[in-house]
Amino acid sequence: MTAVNAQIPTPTGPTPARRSKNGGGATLWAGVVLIGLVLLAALVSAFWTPFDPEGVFSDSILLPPGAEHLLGTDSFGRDVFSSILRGAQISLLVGTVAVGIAALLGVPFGIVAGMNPGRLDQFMMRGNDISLAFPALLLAIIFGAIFGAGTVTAMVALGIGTAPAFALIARSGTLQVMSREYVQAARASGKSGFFIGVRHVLPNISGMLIVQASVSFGIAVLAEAALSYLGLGTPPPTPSWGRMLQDAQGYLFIEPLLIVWPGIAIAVVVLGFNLLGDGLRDRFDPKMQVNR
Amino acid sequence: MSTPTLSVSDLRVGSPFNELLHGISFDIAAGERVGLIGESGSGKSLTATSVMGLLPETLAASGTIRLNGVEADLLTAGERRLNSLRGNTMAMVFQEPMTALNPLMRVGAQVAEIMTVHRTEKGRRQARDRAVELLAQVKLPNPAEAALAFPHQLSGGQRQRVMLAMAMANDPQLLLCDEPTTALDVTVQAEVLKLIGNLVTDRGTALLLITHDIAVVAEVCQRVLVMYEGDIVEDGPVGRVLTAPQHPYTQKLIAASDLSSVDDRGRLHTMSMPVISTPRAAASSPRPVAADAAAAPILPPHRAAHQRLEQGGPPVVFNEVAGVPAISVRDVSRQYRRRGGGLFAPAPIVHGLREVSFDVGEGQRFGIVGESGSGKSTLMRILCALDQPSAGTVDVLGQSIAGASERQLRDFRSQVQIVFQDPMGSLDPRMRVRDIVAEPLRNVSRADALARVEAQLNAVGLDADVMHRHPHQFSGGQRQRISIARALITRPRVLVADEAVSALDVSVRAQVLNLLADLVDEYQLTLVFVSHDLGVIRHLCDTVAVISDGRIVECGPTASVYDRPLHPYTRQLVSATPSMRDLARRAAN
Repeated sequence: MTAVNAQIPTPTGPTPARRSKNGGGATLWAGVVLIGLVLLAALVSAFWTPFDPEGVFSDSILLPPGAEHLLGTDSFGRDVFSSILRGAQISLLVGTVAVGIAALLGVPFGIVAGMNPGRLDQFMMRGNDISLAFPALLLAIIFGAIFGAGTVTAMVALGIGTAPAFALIARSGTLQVMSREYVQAARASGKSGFFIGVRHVLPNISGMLIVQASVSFGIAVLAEAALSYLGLGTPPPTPSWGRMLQDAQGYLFIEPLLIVWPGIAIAVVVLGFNLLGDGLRDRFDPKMQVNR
Repeated sequence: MSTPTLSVSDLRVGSPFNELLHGISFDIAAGERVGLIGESGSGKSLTATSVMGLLPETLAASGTIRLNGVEADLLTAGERRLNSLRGNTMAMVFQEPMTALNPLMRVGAQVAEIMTVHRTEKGRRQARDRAVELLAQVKLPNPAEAALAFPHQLSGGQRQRVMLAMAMANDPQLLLCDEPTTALDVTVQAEVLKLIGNLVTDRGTALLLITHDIAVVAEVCQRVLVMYEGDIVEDGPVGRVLTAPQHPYTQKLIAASDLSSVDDRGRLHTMSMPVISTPRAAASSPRPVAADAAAAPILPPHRAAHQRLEQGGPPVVFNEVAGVPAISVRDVSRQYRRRGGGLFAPAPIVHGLREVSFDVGEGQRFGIVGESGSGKSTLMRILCALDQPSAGTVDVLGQSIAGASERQLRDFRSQVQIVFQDPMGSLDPRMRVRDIVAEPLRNVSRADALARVEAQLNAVGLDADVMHRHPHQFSGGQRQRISIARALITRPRVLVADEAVSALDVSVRAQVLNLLADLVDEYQLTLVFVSHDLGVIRHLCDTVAVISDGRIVECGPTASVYDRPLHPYTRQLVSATPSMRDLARRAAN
């Protein structure tokens, strides 16, 4: 890892410029803590929740927050706290799969474009620009209409929709790496394009890709919530924060708190991933790479 | 004696971890031209930034820096006071004029701004007029037009002239130049140095010129300060320091700078610098395993004919070899389509190389010398099949490589290897040394590869335990050794070096050149050495080709070309890079 190696002093020659220890640290850790909370919720809820978040309990409808139901109950009598915990699973699942699909599609696309300057690059990137102009959410709605709404459809659509951003980042990073002499040296040793892409380009752009992934993660979670709110995401009875918002909408004036809890949960995840992204960006600051 | 213009006493600069400048003191008299010389990390740039009050805040400084006529100590003076001095009473010229100039502002306006900021000219109109005058004084052609140009429209030398005009705009008492000509070509460097010398002499400005290059100091300065690891180790008139250096470091530095003097074994003088291990005795190293090469009769060394390209004359085949040459280039041209033009208008065509023809004999050490934009890098890339010529044929080791596919080039790739200029950029920062050095190997088992890497690292003077480290843990010279190890691991027959020592310090440069020379002998390599530095080529190569504007203008045995240049361009190039002996003689007069 970059950060670890930068701490080892050079045996001779100039010491590399070091970042102060706090550089990006506070942001990074705030992100890690928030995401850690969500991850914990998702893990715990897989084995245990205070109440069953998927049933219907007619004797406990719309209870206010209290000792038994920490965050109250909803219109079906389900414990809101349990639903929030279980909802973290869907959020993280959608985020992970969508970002995974996006990276798997976008990164090779961008690297291939960046390694083949000229017509192929132009052709690929103009196509990329067109898909970039198409909102991921809209794509998900169309997919929902064609293939039927559901978690899988949402994940795939969001993945395809955010892939162009990965392609863009991967290509710009690839262009930088390709201008370095170690790539020339590899070419002069007769290494194939595939080898150069995997051994030289990918490791050297991984920093910026991780940053992009963490930001996209936040976007995907938000988009899943939006889709579920529109009824195009996770189908009931599986708890999802977006659908909790939708359900709560009808009781806005009876139990306004119901809309607050999933809202906070979504905000925490998105904020967490954005902070993580910012912190990582500072860690992988390109200036640090120059100084090494 | 009158008050000195600049007086630095007991200047100490330290980071929280260690002290970088250990209490240096020096004075510069009014109108005196002083050179400050040292290698990277010696503290010479720190000295300059301390004087300008531009030290980074993480560094702590003590001591005093006084400028004649200024009450305050520059080290403790407030930012506002310093701002009124910078650009006015003292001015600085930086190494890289492209980044020191604002790319979005016309250069005339940038020069005028210096005067309006310090209110030395009354109005904008006057400042603009004065800016044009200044640009004329720094000998920019068409100053009125040049004032309206943006920095990217000027050449490197012209940009540095603009920087100089800005620095001299308010008639400073003191001019600081930090490596002002390092980024420039040799012929341009000579002109800019002469200009700096003339300007400061005419105006009686004191000059502090910081550089790693003794030749630059000898060109301009009267006195020289030698810095070594944060101390000034020698201070004296240039002529005396060059001819009779007192301090051991200065003696070694001058010996190592002098590429024309060698010891009794024909090797350059090096400085005892920490290397991880010393190069092994030649006998214990692995010899090339080319059986057929050993069986071949040893040919008498080919001696090149000394030829030049006549103005408008027919293309010449330079250094034509009678038998089978290692490299044979015929009528090679390379054109580029420059980006731009309109969407439909054809892009303008740039000629990188024009009808270049030459041979390189087996075992020859062939130097290609030229300035930036001359086409030498293009030629190098074509020789390594990293680029394809637009026209002409290139045969290397009997194989035609122009237009060959990567599959056809497989043998070629292991026979021809490259050492690059930039020791930072030529090693993948994410890979370990063992993987870097092993990269060119094909179809070799892992254990076998590691053994060969170890042997090769030993051959370039590095210990085997560096294998598991990453490139950033090494100094420039060590990285260049790793590059050389990577290039030699396939036992190539041709080694192409692209400015392989240009980014290195003087002391390290001598070591790497000695190593290269040893290895070329030992592995019986054909060497093609591309460089802008005539001194390096003269030392290392037996034959040299001078390339200018995409053409080889002259080629012949090195000594002959340097002593009796035929082409006017070569003459200009040779006179722009005087040898140490010339410098000493000139400085003594």
